[in-house]
Amino acid sequence: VRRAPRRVSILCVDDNPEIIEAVRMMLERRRDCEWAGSLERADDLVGFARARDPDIVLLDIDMPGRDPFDVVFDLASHCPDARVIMLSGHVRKDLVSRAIKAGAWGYVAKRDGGQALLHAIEQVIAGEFAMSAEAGLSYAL
Amino acid sequence: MLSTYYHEPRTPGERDLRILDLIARQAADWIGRTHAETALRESETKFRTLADASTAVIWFLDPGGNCRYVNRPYLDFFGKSEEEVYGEGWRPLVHPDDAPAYIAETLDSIRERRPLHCRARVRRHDQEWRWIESHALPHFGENGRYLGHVGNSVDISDSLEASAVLRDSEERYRSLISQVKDYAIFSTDERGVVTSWNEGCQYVLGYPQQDFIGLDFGELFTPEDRAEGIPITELRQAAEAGTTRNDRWMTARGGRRFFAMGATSSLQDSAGRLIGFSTLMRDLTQMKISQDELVQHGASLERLVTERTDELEKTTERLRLSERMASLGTLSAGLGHDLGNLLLPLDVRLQLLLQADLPLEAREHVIGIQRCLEYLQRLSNGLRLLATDPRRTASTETTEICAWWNDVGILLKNVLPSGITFDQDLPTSELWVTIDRAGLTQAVFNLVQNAADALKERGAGRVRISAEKDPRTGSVVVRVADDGPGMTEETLHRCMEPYFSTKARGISTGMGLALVHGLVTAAGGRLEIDSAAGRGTRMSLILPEAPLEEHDGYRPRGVAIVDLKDARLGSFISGEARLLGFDVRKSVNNGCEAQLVVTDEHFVRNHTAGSGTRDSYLIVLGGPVTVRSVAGSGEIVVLGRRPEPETISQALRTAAEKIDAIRV
Repeated sequence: VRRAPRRVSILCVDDNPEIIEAVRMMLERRRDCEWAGSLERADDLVGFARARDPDIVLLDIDMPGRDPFDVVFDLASHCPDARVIMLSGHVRKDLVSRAIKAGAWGYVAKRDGGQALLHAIEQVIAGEFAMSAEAGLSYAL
Repeated sequence: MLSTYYHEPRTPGERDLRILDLIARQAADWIGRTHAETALRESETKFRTLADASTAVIWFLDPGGNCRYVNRPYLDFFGKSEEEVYGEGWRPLVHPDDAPAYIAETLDSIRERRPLHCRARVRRHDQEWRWIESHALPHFGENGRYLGHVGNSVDISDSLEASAVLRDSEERYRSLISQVKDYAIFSTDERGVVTSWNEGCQYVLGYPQQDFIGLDFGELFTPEDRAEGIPITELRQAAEAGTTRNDRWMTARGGRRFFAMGATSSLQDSAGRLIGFSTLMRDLTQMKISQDELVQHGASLERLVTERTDELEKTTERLRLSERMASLGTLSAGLGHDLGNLLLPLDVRLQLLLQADLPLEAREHVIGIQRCLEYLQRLSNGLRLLATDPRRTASTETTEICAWWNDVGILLKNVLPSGITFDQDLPTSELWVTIDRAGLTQAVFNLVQNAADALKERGAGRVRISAEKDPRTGSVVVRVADDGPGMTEETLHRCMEPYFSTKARGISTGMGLALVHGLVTAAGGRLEIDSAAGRGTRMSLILPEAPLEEHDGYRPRGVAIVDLKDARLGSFISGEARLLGFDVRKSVNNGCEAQLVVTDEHFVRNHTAGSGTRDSYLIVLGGPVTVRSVAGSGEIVVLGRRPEPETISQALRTAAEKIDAIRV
């Protein structure tokens, strides 16, 4: 894990430009974060990540194209330093479970808000597995 | 008057006078005799006419037993002439078998001058033998001289025959009555004292004849009926109406009760005077019992049908609800997702706006929008709950309240907006209920959310969650109470209806309480609502307490060492172990005893089997080779190199259960 003073570079994959824009604006306001770019689908994520070398990848689930969990698995072998946090509107036990198995470091429900996302990024950077409140509840249920 | 005439006038001399006197006396005597004879003749004629006009056969025997007179009906009856029957001519008319006794009796009575009364067969004019009954009285002359016997005979054949028939019939009837065993048939006098008995009285009532005759009819009634005067009423009714029918419990000898079908009729003499009663009784106890059972079965069948119908209606309603819920769930899932997608950028942008140096008015607008966003977040959460498959909640799993609260308490507290305080009054010792954790969480989540909504307008208030065992019923009551405005009567009445809501559309789906009701009912419990306007609301989940043997684990205790090379997985497992209540450490230190160790090959490299892990429950993510190199005497579970997260979670729960079992 690369630690400060290096800023945490974050890459975001979501087919909704509103999400990408909001996350970018939020992260760019922070001194400890840097924007590593964004994608609207996960098909080319492995190559893109190799090029940008992000610390964190925020990955939506419900997108056209490749199955995002397969992509997480590929990423773990090709870019082992990039830690994936699933950022999704769908929060279900089976999805959380698949994400963990595929190698994701965290699962954040979009409805849990920006603060929950920032907290999850901090946890993952610190080497901890992160689940936002909504995701944790769904997995517990 | 006697007149004498002479040829010449003269005065009669003494001799003349004597002669005259003699003549006068002789004349008077003659006249008298003539008069008497005439009268006798007239009397005899009168008698003969009378005797001949009679329908009776009349005869006269002189002191020698010879017939001296018979009337016309006599001659007609026998078809004989006077000459043929006079003297001893009557004797051959008597049947040879009866003649000796009949004639002897007749002659005896003549000799003894006494009345005669006897029967015999005689040959009628048509040669038919007929029974006659003869009555005769001795006849005496004026001077007391016995003259003979005057008698009459009556043909009694028809009457004898009728009597015989009657006797036969009576005999048969008596025999019939006496042999009937299934019916007690007896008679009583007008006061109800028993006067007759049949076999049935023995069989039905248990009385032998000697004990039954003279018994008071009322003794056959139950003490209760006797106290009410039923026996007297029954006799009175029978006397008035002729017959009274009564089916009731009666008492046999020795106090045995039996159900009798009976009828009592009044008995009257030829003048219509009441002379007693006849009673017929049959033991129908078995039939009565069967009938009662049938009625009972009928009633229980009816009750069962009603229950089943109700159940069916409820099931149909549940099915309808669950179908609606299922389609609603699909809709909710999609809607929740899209809404959730929008919430993040909205939230982020509002946060950024608030960080900016905004004019006061603009800041207020932003805060207003942020409040709207909170509503949207709540709605999105509600939609997520609805999207949960309701069928999954119908389970018989059990949940320990304290452990459950440790896991979900924080999440539920977050539901409440700021300004509202949250109290909890939960048991300090274990309390198990029969409902799965998910169901309990959803139900309580809904109730807390409702409480929060009730208090939101006021911006302040108190929500209290409590759980306790009701010692009276043995149920566990999980209660969410608020000091909000409470429900109006109409709301209270309708709040369980699906789609009913007091909240603004877009904030509530109206499914909250219907969902809670469904969850609690599926777990075998019920939802009780106590609310009134201005008095706050208390929602109580009345849940069955789980018997001890049904506890499914979740007894979080002890130290767990999670030591994995894969930090990500290690972190996930640590989180899960913490949820189960383990005190999670990364390695053995301070000589503490670990109850659970989750590890991989990494563990083998970094530690030898130390004293702290010797008896631990061991979960190994790896292969058999790894396991062989681990020493210790505790149970070892191998999950493979890349286990499913749910497999890991399940293994942790099983470990918790087993560790608890060992501890116990």
